[in-house]
Amino acid sequence: MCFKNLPVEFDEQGRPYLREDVPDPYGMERRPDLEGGEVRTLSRDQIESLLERNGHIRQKNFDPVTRVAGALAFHTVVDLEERKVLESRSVATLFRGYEVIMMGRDPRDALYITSRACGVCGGVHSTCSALATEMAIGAKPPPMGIVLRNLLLAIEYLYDNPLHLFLLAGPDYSESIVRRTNPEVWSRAERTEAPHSGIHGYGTIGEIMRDMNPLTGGLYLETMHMTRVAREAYVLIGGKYPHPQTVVPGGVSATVSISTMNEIYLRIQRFFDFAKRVVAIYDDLCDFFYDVDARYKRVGSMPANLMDPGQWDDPEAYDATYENCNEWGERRWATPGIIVNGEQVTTKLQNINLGIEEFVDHSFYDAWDGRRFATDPAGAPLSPYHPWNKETKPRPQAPNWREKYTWDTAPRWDRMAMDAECTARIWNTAVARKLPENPYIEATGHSLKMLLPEGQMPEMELEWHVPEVWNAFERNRGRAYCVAYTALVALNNWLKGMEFLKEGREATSTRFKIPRWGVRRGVGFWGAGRGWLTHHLVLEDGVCTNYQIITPSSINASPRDPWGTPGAYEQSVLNTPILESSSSEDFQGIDILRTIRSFDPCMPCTTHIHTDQGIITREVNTCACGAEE
Amino acid sequence: MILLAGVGYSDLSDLSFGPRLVERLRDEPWPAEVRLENLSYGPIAVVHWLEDHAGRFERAIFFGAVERGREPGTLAIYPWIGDRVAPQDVQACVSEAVTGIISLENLLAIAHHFGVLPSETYVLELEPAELGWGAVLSPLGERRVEEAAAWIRRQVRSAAHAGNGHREEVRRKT
Repeated sequence: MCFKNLPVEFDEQGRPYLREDVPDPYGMERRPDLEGGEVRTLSRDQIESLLERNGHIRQKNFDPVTRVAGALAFHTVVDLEERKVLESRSVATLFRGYEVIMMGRDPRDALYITSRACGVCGGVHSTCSALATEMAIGAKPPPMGIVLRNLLLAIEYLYDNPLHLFLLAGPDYSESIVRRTNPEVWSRAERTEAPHSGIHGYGTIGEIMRDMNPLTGGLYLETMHMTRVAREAYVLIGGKYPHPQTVVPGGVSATVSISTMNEIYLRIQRFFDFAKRVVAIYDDLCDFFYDVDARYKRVGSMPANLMDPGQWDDPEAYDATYENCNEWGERRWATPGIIVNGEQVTTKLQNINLGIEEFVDHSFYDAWDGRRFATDPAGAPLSPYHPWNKETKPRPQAPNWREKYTWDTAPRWDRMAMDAECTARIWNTAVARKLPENPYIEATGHSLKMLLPEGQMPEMELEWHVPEVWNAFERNRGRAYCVAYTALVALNNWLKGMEFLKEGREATSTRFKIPRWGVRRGVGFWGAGRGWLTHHLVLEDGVCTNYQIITPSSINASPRDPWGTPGAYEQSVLNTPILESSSSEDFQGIDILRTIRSFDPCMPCTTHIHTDQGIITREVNTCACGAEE
Repeated sequence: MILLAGVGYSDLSDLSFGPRLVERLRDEPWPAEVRLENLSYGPIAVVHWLEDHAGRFERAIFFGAVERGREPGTLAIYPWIGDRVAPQDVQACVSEAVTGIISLENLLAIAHHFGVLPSETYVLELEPAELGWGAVLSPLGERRVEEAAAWIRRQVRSAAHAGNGHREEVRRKT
């Protein structure tokens, strides 16, 4: 059964319908069944009492959380005797106003405006926006346009994922951090042989950690250089980075020749060897920490509830319609899917879409009526809390842990808190076994096998296995494997693009017009390097009357929901044991920071816009430090 | 060669002083040994660009708006002395740079750390008067654009040094 909490069932033809025996089907009275994933939290009164009575129970605030994109603060209460976290609150401190800015605009503006949501992955927002628009207006891109889009966004992740692994999260595992927070772990690392030294070239774990030192470490510097390689490939299609100029509804506006494709290949192939080393390094690091202390398996742990909309379309299957989204979705290079407690419950985009709701009970927004669309465009039941029904009504106020404390909303799927980072992509793909036939990637049902071609290093088969535990280390390991996987998706699409060029199928875009009448809906199901991404759009007489963006960090950084269930950062920090051995006075909170950074947070920034009439939005920046108790 | 480089976001009123000044300087002819660039993009990508041009520039003038709490409209010029930036601050600058932040100070700190700045590097910065969103600079900011352009012109023509190692205010708000 796909849904356990939403009253949606399926008829004999597999079409979803709303159960008639449930009064107020989307009401809040029924507490969701979290399948054993319930999170025990202390009330504010209990927390305050503990803080008053115990010197070893302290507040530890990270404001801002450094080495993440954008503005994130994190509030914790830790028990330094019991070495555990008693309370955790994730705070997005900036208002993201894109939904408000898009109101009343031509949907073609969305490509450029929403791209600015991120200074790393503007291309995925442009693409998601293009997908939403082309669905709403019925513009199907030509096959070469789809392939180039796939290639562009694969390349973007070859920039994004290594950046996180070695410049943002990576330093958490470097000599300079480990030596300070856990000197005993550093000593052991210095004398522990690295199992994959033959691949990455480091004799000991200590040598790996030393090369992960920020600014001076070889891996840090090499990754900085590899970002250049990825950018160079990216701009050959996108024109510029990070905000491409060529992504449009109906394809891409760039054209390519054989020599452009060769220029792209020269850069992609450099990631084959790089990926072999990245995977070997992270395999060794993760396994080393587990060997040192098995409790590291609990750092950042939470139930394996993962969601991903899939991406990289089959050029012969994608038709930009919502009606056929289940079919073209399942033919993607990353299979869409929802995993609950480690089990995949659906790979159908329609089901994934129907299960999404957003709640604002603990967010700086007012509630909305949500009765505009009772069904999706295919007639399936839609929640009033679904993005197509949502209205963004910002209500700035002082944060209060008992009530509202963040600018992020609480997106849920089937009323469960989910993890939407990028390992969900390979996990869903691995277990679904729906990958297009190809010579490089194989989904086995429990793993993903990847055959990386020869470069300076010999051809090598890597295999990512569905992890036994779901925690901070496995998120990072999964992201390392994503580098290999993405490079091979790029290679497959490059080969397909070359085939199209030889066949003379060179068209990269379709002409379209924005219809100036009627109500139309579209949704861009895609992803970012970090994980999930959707843009939901309502067009009315040719202009946007609703535009909703859900990013991976919207889901991962979410606050508590109406039933008090914390979001993914909050849950996984609550489950994190304090293994740091530095003194209470020098407490850094490294285990907490490793947990948060393992999600690759990217808090979309505030934005503003100027019109002839004046400023129509204002900057809103909420400090988390002064939250009322 | 001399590098003239503006840094900043566009459409941010006086905070767009860097790109606006680049635009203004493009209006006039420059000797062949002058390279005028808008370096308003990711500092790491700029570092890579400077690496590609290693040894080509003997001198550089970077310009942009920086909020330091001075009197609005203050135009300050000083030689860049990057040794004052601690490694942990450079690391913070890199983290911001790779996640999309465009900043004159970040760029200089990172470029200095990686040793890609010309040996003589000067900074010309405006204390912005208007910080809101806007496609044009404030009237005061626009006047400073003209004054900065005149100063740069003089520097290029005379190849004279701008300072003695200390921050120097060449123009106060009038």
